[in-house]
Amino acid sequence: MIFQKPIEKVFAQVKSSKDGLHNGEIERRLRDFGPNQIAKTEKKDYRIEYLKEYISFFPILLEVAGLLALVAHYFQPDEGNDILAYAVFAAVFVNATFTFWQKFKADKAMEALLKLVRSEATVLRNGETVTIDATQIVPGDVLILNEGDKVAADAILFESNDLYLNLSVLNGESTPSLRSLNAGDAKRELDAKNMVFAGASITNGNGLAVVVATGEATEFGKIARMTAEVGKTETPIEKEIKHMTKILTILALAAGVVFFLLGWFSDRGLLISAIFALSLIVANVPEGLLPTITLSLSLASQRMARRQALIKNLNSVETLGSATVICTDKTGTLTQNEMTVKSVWMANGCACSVDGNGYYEKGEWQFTGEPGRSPHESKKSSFEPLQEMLQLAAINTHAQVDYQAKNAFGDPTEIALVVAAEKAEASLDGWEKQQEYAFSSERKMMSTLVKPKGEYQPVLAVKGALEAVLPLCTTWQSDGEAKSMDADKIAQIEQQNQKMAQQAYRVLAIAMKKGDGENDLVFLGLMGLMDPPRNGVKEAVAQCYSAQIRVMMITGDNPITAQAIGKQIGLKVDEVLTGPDLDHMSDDLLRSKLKEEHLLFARMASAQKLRIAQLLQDNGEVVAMTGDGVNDSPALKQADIGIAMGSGTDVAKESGDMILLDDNFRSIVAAVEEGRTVYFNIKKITTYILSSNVPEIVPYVLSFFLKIPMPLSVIQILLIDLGTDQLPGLGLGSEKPEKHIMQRPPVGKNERILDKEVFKRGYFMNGVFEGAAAMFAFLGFLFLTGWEYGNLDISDEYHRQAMTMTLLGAITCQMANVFTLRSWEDSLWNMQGVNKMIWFGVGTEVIIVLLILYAPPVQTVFNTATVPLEYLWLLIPFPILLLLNHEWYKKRQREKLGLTTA
Amino acid sequence: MRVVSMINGSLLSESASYYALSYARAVQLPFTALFVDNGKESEERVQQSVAALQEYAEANNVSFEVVTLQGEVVPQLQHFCQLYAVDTLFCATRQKSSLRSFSEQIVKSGIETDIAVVKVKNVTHVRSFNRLMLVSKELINPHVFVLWLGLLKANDGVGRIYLSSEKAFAKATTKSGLKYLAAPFMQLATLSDISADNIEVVNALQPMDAEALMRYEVENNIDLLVIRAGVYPQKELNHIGDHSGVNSIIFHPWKG
Repeated sequence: MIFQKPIEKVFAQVKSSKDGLHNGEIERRLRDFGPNQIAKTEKKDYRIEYLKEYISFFPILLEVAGLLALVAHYFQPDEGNDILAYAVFAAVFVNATFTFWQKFKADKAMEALLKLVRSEATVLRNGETVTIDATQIVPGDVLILNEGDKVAADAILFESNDLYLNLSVLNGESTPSLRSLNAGDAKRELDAKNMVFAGASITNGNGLAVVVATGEATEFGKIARMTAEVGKTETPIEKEIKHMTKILTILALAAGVVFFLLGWFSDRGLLISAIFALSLIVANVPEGLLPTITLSLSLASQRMARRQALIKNLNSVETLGSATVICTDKTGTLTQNEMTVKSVWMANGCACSVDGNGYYEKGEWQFTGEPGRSPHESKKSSFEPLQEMLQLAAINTHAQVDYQAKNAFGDPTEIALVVAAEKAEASLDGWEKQQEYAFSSERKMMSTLVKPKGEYQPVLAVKGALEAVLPLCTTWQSDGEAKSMDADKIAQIEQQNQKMAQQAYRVLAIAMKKGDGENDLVFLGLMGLMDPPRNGVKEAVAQCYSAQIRVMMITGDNPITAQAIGKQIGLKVDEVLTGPDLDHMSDDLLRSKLKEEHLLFARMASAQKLRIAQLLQDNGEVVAMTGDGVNDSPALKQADIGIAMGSGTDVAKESGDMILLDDNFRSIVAAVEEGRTVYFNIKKITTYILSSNVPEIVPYVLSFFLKIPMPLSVIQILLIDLGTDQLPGLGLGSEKPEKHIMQRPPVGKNERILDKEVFKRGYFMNGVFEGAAAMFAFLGFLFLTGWEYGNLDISDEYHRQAMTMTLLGAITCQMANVFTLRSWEDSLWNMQGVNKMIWFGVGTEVIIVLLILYAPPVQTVFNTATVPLEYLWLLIPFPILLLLNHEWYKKRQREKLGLTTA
Repeated sequence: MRVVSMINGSLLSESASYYALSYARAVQLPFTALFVDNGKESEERVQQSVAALQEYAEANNVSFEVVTLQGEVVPQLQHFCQLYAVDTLFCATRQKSSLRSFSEQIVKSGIETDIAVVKVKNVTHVRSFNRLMLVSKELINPHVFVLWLGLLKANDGVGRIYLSSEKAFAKATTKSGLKYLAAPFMQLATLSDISADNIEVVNALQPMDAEALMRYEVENNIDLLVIRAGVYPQKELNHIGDHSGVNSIIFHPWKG
């Protein structure tokens, strides 16, 4: 195998050198071996995507309508059906182009956002150090590896300085593994000590390595392939759009067929009946709905990105609003992922605590005293031994903290020890490391032989789990002298250890010895470390409960620590289950526990998350699940909303629907709020668009039954649907969250956007007012200008004026409608902020109104004419009535739901 | 007869040639490194490739020669194959399958020889590979079988023959029926001094799609896939080649 060969042979095989590759060769290899990325999504062919906009259901319906009009024109050339056909085809074109443009823009915006999470790598090329996008790495590149780096490709080391590699993303082993220049007796790549692997991270040291595999050929890529088997289900919004399309199409067709048959049987002729039916179909198809929804989702995803939640698939935005359970990691999401020393207990019984969270803050030491001494006396007598203990703990690490640059490298526990020493002003300057006895999961301890500044004799600093360190201690430190360890002291130390563990501290025992050898150690004390909760998480958890969302912590940590953190952030916990508990639990039992209980999962393996997600979904829950490792990938795919951490692996990010840029739980809750907002915004848009269908349908129906001229032409219907309704509709899609959005229960899995409520408000409430407004304006104008009922023989100009009044009746009502629909339940007068897009939309409507009233070319296209000003008062009453009625209805709704928003 | 591999000085073509060398060693045929100089490639890099391949050939007792032709690749290659008896022509192909690639042009040019299109994803697996999988329909083409067997023998590897049988699935043929079809080839392998323990016939009644095949190769730690063209539609074959992390050889038999 290549990793067993001398490095010269490796360079020869990959045709490279220690100076790296040269430019011409890099481009060629990039073409030959492809970019260094995995789980790539196929690039969209936008030409095909555009064509698809013409073959979905709504456009096909309109295209058939257009063809029918052409057929009608063939048989009756003088009826103007050709213009109707062209108008319908133009509507299809405008709508397809607009929808495509929205999707295209949304894709591009998404691509731009996803660039934020791309990783970089430092390589040697042409003998020079360059930082490049990690996807541009090719076989033969020389990687420059430093502490804290994520390795970008599989590579063989040819220089290594104390380099430790965290391979947990590949093998689940969290203990960093020391790398060397020899492969050892490895039989496969993953066991080769001279190799580094894509996805792994450098926890300590530095090195140089030559890349031998990139992209899917890496070990990481292979694991990613195995996780690709869990399929993704249709999102609720996708189902919903299908449902809406189905219902509205059935309605449109049914109306068309009924009126076609009525016309035919009442001897109006086949062709006239067909044209009439066609007009009704056009009126019923909400042409502008789909692009408006796309834009609404796109705007929401951009708002979410500003709140640190990056949505990968637009359709997932709305799913967030349905989330009923959030399964969250602990470390880094609920907590700061910054281990901090909080408590120290010294062997003489003196205990102290230190404040300040995280790596960079200063902290004050508080002494709680010891038997026979006050806190003040304790501090006086024990501060120096404390400093010595912290010095020995800190020197026995690989961590480095740059306080000015606010940067830390190394294992989080070790960083905490270095920071604690800094807080006690225990200097490490001048200490010289001589030898190290490395940590391993078997030994559970680590020692470093150091020579303190100005001393000749080296000192062995030891740290580790108490059960590993204590048996090696024969004495303990007491006020400068070593006392012999006896059974009572051992019992006291063990009791203290247990006490600290119960307080959710990770406990480390510290010992020392003058000279070398891990025996006859002097026990110094215990240190309690904790990863504190993030700011604002407690409030976010409370917000989840008020929004009737259960929060379940799933952590690999022990149950005591998990419970303690849970308590600090106000997490409800009915029962704690561990990974081994789950292994022995049947699906039925676990499913029943998951039904209503607030569970906390500790000592969990990533693979068990998948089972939890599946069983929760069996119970009908909509699951949001967080994860960061490769092994989390199946669970992220299975969950309704997979939430990958911004600091997580690329595989997790690929599998998730959403990426949390700041890893913070608060951002999940913010995203849920946005998801709910999107759901209600789409409801508002749908209601708004359905409302305007009524004044489009009613005139046709009445003209069928009454002896009146046709009040509205098809082209005027299209003007409303694709002209005046579009921008205000978009404005509704950009509405901000309503005040009570997180007080209501999650949107049910079976709840429909197009539900009874939307129909009620759209068709039977606001729509009725709009229909009445249109007919009031039309008939009012006719009667006021001396028209007699039954007279169908009116001049073209006069007819156009009357139709203009119908059109204006519908448009003015839609203006009032858009304002009152800004909130679903809140009063219009309580709405906060100005929705600029709505104002812009209404402004555009006013311009369109002026154009159809006064611009002759526009009038020719849309069959309108100038109406004398004295008749325009006919447009005023119904918008006011619509607004007052809907506000009164919302007030009743608020009372019914018990919402307190005023 | 000779085994021919096309080189152009790139890491890709050199890596692919190691498979040709392994095969030539197993079937004891001379190896020809063929460079068609169309003026676009660096001669220095070609010489470096030749030196590396020659060193490997000599170490493995393979008769080695270099042939350089001038002009357009496809016509020159057709001419060469008419003049000399070529057992198998190896050519490398890029990561992303393209209809305009050289390998695609060569396959479509109707050259009178078997063509092995090599897609190298992992350059470290071209000289030492242990687990080889042959993917075929229920009737195994003897030429592709010999290529797979030769590579297996050259590396003392472990082999799997995966029979993708839609016919068998449709007729609900038993798995033992498929094993019957593979039996003569297993016996041939035994006659070639390959232990029967080192070969396994995998035959699912339901054919694996491209994604499932790629998962299978990862789960079973396969180093090299040898697939007879035609087992999967071209689109699926391209998908396997483009997205798999494992090196693959798509074998286009001249006849049948």
